[in-house]
Amino acid sequence: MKLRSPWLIWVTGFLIACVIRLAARTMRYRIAGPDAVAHPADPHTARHIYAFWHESILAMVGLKIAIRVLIGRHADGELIAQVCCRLGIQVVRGSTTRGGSTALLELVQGGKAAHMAMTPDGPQGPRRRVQLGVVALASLTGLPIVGFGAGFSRAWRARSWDRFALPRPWSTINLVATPVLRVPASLDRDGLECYRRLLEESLLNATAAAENWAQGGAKPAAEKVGDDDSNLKASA
Amino acid sequence: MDRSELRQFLRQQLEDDTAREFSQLDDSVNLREGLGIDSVDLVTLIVHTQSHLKIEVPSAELEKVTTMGDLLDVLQSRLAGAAGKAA
Repeated sequence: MKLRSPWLIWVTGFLIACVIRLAARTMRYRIAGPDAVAHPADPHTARHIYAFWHESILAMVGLKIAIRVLIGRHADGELIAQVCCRLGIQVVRGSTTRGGSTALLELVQGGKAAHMAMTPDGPQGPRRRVQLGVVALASLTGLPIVGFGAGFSRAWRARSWDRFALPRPWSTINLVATPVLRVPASLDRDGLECYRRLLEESLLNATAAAENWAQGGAKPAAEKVGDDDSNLKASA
Repeated sequence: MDRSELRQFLRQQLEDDTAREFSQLDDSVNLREGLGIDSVDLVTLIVHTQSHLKIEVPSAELEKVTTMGDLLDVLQSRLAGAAGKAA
């Protein structure tokens, strides 16, 4: 059932945000990867574009970093935007299918004190396939991209196009960072496509490593451990 | 820069950005369906144009841009605004 009433969307968004905050307090976060100690970075000194698969958006919540996120203009987008705002996440509305140019330009021009977070396979997939927008954004802004693959020790999976993950309370969320990807400016289409493939491969590898780690597999290099109340920086 | 010069500038920029040739850039041509450019191409074009012409195009103004004529109108409006401020 799609919510249409603004009042109902407001209330529902408020309640969902409360539930997410409460649940996040019970979860444990582990971050690993080639340069895991540097991420998430302080946006005032080093802004990045953080890329997560659409299905693992909730893994981003626990990172507690200042981010701007692109939310689609589809019917559910308003509810998601409300939830994000209540979680302290800045929102830009638009997508590759509706209002893409406006949203992309707003992302390029704005948000000096926050990272950008994008779901490169959103809003409608195909699942785990990177679209060109995030790479174009990196090329236009000069911001480096760091992808995060997520693995959940226990999660419910929705019957959606992306098998959206709802991590269970008292579970562990494992994030594996990709190597930093810097996309040169003034690339043509072929150039952007090359970097799109690079990011996709990198993110798929990180996701596989995170999922393996979550199920008791080998720890990826440079692990750091934190909980929801920590700054998630590796200890000395 | 008059409309004709601006059109020529945009054509050159589009060809550089997309590695394609564009022969038909009159006002009525639809950017997506007629020229085959998407939001990535359009934003890249806008950003490069902003940098070159020293103007800023608010993102909200892109909402109404569907044809080459719409794009030229927006850019000419921003250029006129910038010239007015400079005067």
